[in-house]
Amino acid sequence: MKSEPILRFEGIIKQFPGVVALKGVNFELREGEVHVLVGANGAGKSTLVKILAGVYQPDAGRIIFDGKPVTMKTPEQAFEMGISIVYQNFNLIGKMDIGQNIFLNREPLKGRLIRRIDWERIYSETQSVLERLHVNIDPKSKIDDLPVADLQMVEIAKALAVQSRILVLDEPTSSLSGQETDELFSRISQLKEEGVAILYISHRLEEIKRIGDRVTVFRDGEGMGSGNIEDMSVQKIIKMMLGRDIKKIYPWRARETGEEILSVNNLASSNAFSDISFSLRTGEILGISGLVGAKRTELAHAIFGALPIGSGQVRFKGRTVEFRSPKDAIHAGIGLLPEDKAKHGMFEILSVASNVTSAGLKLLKKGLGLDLNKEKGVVEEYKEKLNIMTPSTKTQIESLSGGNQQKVVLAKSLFTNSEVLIFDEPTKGIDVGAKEEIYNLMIELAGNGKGIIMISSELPEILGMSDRILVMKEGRVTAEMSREEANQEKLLEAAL
Amino acid sequence: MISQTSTIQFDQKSVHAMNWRLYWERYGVIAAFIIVLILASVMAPNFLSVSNILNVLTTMSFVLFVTYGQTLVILSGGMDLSHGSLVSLTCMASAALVAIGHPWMGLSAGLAVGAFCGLINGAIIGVIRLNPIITTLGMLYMAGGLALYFTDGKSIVGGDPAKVQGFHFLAEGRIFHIPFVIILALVFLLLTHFLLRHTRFGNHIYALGGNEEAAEIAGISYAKMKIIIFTLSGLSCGMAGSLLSARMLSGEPQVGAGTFLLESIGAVVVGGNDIFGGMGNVGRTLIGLMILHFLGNALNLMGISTFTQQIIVGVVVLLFCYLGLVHKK
Repeated sequence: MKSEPILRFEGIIKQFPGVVALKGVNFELREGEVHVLVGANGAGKSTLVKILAGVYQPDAGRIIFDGKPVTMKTPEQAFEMGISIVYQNFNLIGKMDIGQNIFLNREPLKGRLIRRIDWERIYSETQSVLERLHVNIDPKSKIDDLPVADLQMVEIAKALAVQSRILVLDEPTSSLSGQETDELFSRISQLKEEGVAILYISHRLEEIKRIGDRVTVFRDGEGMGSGNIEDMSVQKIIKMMLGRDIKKIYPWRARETGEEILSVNNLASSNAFSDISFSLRTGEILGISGLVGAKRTELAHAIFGALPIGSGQVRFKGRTVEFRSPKDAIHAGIGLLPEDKAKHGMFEILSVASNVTSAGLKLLKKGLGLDLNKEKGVVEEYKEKLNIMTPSTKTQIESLSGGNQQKVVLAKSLFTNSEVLIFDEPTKGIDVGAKEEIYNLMIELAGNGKGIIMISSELPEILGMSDRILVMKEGRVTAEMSREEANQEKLLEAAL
Repeated sequence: MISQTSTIQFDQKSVHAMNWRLYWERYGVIAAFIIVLILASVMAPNFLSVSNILNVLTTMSFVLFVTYGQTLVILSGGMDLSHGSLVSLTCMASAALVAIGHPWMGLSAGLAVGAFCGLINGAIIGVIRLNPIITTLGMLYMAGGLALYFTDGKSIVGGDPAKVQGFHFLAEGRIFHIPFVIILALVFLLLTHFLLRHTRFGNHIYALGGNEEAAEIAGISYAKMKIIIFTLSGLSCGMAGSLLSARMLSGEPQVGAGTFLLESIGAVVVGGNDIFGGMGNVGRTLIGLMILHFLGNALNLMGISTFTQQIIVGVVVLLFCYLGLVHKK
């Protein structure tokens, strides 16, 4: 068995404003092995990959490649060293065909006098790479016309079309079917035989056993340990991923919950989720946990009328409702605080005041215009109540911090008298202090009888804030548990 | 299981739709051109005469050069608004040297001024990453002003007719009864086609227009590409401007204002190239420009006033855009 270390990271540190992404990582990749990298969201896996790709430069530490210290300053440099990376999100050009994409910027030329692109060679080589992957697609198919699973295979083919020494696969199976996964795995085994070092990043613990030779677990920017696959049980890996106790920053306290305000029955939406049922009471905080891609956001959008419902029912305040658009949902009394605030939650160039009232301008109607004095009064009130830190209510929301923006988005939902509030990743990208304030507000709102649904990928947040927890996986509910029953292991097991 | 069967059904159903869509995308604009030709020959008197067709093609050829440059720019995901003024400016630059008896230096000056202005556009867009539309709008004003500035808005005339004969031939000469400028335009059409289809540079134009980010990740330099593309675009204006000065043997400071800018973008759009870049070819641009010119010519022959013509052309552009959007979705 070949086991020369081809690449070694020694004490790699990488800082970003406000966070240390990698805190002195040591890591080793050997020829002809599949090395699996696992870790929760934000553990530092993607930062490590980006350093390897030449996208980021480490702040400290050494990278040893083939026994010599190296620096990879640009993606091209990494590519020339034989490092191929298949990112989780595709870097394909939709308007071009497969061959064009695979040979982009390395088009072979032919002809002595007039050098021109050798298209026949591009398509025949593309054909043979696709055949090696057992993918049966025409190399001249346009990317835009292909289903997602094929795109993943094209990305992999792109990496395989060159002789790589290191192949990085970031969640390669997340959009593949079982059979395609098998093909990919047999291709990976073949590459292993050829001596290629493979760095495999995955959330799917069952895959690790199948494909991996060694595992390294990441947590909070540190390698928690590496080991041969035989020595690592799934339980052990999960323990290493989670580790620490949940800090007591959550202001949760026992509350009286009232009667059912929202219920969902066998709800399904094509291509997203199916068979979803749950209910929510007034004063209750229902946490929805799961991995990225579990279709939780889609569920929220469907309840909110932003995504068509295929079948099933939504009942709100005892009546079956059919929201054709978010407008209907807002009017009925449901508020959504979207995950992507900038895209779905606010008007970046408008003022704080305009943002707060944007969903409920009806309430400000006065004659033919708007009662701007009333707006000013109302918004000042929210600014006070939610402690929104802004120089003035006329300030553009863009210039506020993430936490304060979130409070403005919350005020927007409160202004329209929402009785059910759906928080989608409410503390994503905001600092600890602001997080605590958001938590306090959620508890206060629940105390005032609002029903709250909180979608979060942060396990501690789910455990710390929810009265009851649903876990979703690939568009289905895989577990429901009370606050008392829940712990990290149970949530992870249901989500993976 | 359920999802699998439904996919298969969807595939079968969409096969016909796919074929139809493909044909429409590929040949729709040619069909439209043929319809215009048929309607024109039926409705417009004398439309189908050799002299009329050659006349239209000759006039069109001068504009054709700038549409090649515009095709490169639009395919790469940009837009060049400076064409109108650049044609005027390069025509003036060329005519200034023609007037003092240096026609070939005039040609070179026209090309050089065009390329230089294009280089400035490209550098601002590529390196500083300003928006192409705003940058070239700025250039439209600047070059337009410059074209008027040196002569105080007057035309440049004069020059020794004996010395400029060869130069004049470029625009007005004929080979086997075919105007030389048409041949020249065809040669450049083939060159542009070769550039786009058979060189790495051309392939990278499509990549950049298709997905800027993915192209850059593949190692294609945005700055380098934009600089070359806009320089070529400026050069194409220099070509048109110089040929105009060769045709008129004078420089008109506003010769490019109006038609040149409108038709340079109009031809690319009407020909069915993707206005956001990444898809299309220079053949489409040629057909687009032919549609505009033959339509205008037919309306002229039918005695329809220029104002009414403009309204009709506008409706045609909108119609094409609508049809284009339909097959894109």
